[in-house]
Amino acid sequence: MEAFRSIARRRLRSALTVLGIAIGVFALVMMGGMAENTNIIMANIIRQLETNIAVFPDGAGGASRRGSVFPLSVAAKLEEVEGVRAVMHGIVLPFDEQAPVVGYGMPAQIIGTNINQQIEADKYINPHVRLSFYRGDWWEEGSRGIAVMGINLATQQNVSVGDIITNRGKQFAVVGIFNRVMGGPDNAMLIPLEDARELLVKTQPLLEFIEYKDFVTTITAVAHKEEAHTVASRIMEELPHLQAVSPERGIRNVEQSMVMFSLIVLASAMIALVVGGLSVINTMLMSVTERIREIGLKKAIGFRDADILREYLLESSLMGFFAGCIGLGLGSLCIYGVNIIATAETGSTVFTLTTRLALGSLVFAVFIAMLAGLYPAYRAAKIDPILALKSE
Amino acid sequence: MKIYIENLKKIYKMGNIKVKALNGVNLTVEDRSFLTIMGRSGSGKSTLLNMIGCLDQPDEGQIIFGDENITNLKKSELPYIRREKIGFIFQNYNLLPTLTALENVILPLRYKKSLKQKAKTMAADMLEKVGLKDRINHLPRELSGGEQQRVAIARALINNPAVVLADEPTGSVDTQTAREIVNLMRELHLKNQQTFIIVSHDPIIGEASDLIVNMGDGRILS
Ligand SMILES: Nc1ncnc2c1ncn2[C@@H]1O[C@H](COP(=O)(O)OP(=O)(O)O)[C@@H](O)[C@H]1O
Ligand SMILES: [Mg+2]
Repeated sequence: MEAFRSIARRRLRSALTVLGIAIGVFALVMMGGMAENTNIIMANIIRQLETNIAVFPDGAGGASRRGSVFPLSVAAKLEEVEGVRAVMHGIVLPFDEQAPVVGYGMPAQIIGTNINQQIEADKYINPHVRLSFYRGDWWEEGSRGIAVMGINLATQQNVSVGDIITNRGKQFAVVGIFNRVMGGPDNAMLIPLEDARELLVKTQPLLEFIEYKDFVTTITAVAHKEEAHTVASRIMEELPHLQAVSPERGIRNVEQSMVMFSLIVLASAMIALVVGGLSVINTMLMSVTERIREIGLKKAIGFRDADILREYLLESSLMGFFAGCIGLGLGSLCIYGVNIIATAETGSTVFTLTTRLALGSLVFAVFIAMLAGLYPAYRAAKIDPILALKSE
Repeated sequence: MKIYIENLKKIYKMGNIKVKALNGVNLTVEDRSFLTIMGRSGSGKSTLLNMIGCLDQPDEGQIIFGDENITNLKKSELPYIRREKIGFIFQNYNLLPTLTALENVILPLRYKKSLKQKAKTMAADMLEKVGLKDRINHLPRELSGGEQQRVAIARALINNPAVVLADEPTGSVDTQTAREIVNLMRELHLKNQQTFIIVSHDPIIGEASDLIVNMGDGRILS
């Protein structure tokens, strides 16, 4: 193909141009891969949130404010409210006593729960984020000092089924590890509610003197996701001493941060790509100047302006395509490598190369190169054949 | 194809200076003739050839190909005339350096869909006719000047044009090669019955021509 040979003819210059775009595509793939990874996690968080109505005693304040506990009895009548499919209660506390100030991804959590309600509630959750076991299984009802863990946390802590993990001075036998759901549970350790209470008291010794012993930090009513809002209002109507927060606000917050993150990341990568595109304009203009006689000749033997235009656009698109392949190839390798390291270190992936990201990067590279080739191609098409054939 | 040229004028403006490149050319070229246009440098020979070749349009006057007045055509229609009716041969061959001899010859057929299949065979045949059967896959830089001009002649004739226009076709080769090229053009002219209009001041071409026209100051002198 002539376009291919034209590119090959100015090897160094074409290579540099292709490299320029390839770097842009690489940036797009890496940044986009990070955004996609985050998006998948966020989407799964939404799937978990969408069926959950957080319930507090009126006046307990906003969701999971640190240290706020309340008696389980406040939720006693919750199951009778129409639309409530299950009620979960639990104690959530950070896995690390000294939580890191900054960290990538979600902080690891300990969730104290009741095994029966856990199995019950799991029936109603979005199947995408339903828990299944990679190794082992749930604990027997009534067991103590026992834990099941998300795969990321287990990898990070370097424990597997049969091992003992110590937290806040208390030992837990690991009996199960979940499959990865790309969401919150990947970084969680689930333990019996009573054990969690014990850990919480260690963190906040004043809880020893609280007048009720059945305290929890979260009560969640599970509803159909379409009904969540209505059910939340109904809970507050029928049980005026409770405050029920429907999942919408939480979901909206997550969605907004998803969009913002994607935009910032993609915009910065695209700038890199556009800069690469500028070098295409330069290269193609030089190539038009160099080949002015050839263009004149082609016109003399009957090529139309549109034919010349098409040939130059094809040439620049082809460069974009090569660059796209190189950038995508390098990006995939890099993502693969970094993910291996990241999974070993933290248990979680940092990048996800989705099909739409791979295809989108390729298409965008071709598009940018073609766009950049437009002006040079137009210049080529408009060349006066007589002057062109006279030029040296 | 008979060509009538009537009162053809072309003025080039260079800033404030006007150059009358063609100043009322009248010429009739009989069908199947082998005509040479001679004249001093700057007398307007190339300009006239370019007008006949539909590379540019005159400011005044007419060019009529057979029964078609090409001076009235829109600019966008000119490429089709060039593609269908005209073959160009240049002094410096103007071969595409990245294409082989065969690919250079095929070039004028690139956008003729009807010939896509046959194009390669046609081009190979044409190269055989100009005596380059064993140079088909050579790049221009691997060919001598005379061979390159033969490729250019094959390219000019591949679309079986009614008119072949050549601007100083022997201007870049030695006398012996010039003679070979002229003989080749003459031979093809007789075989294909095409009209050849050649701009040259090479006496070898003059000798081979049916008719010689002299130009000076943008006019036909004789
Ligand atoms: N594009 C142009 N712009 C300005 N002047 C031109 C142009 N083309 C030709 N001329 C002038 O027109 C005259 C005729 O040129 P040309 O037809 O090339 O002459 P010839 O081929 O006989 O040497 C010359 O004086 C030349 O300088
Ligand atoms: Mg000339």
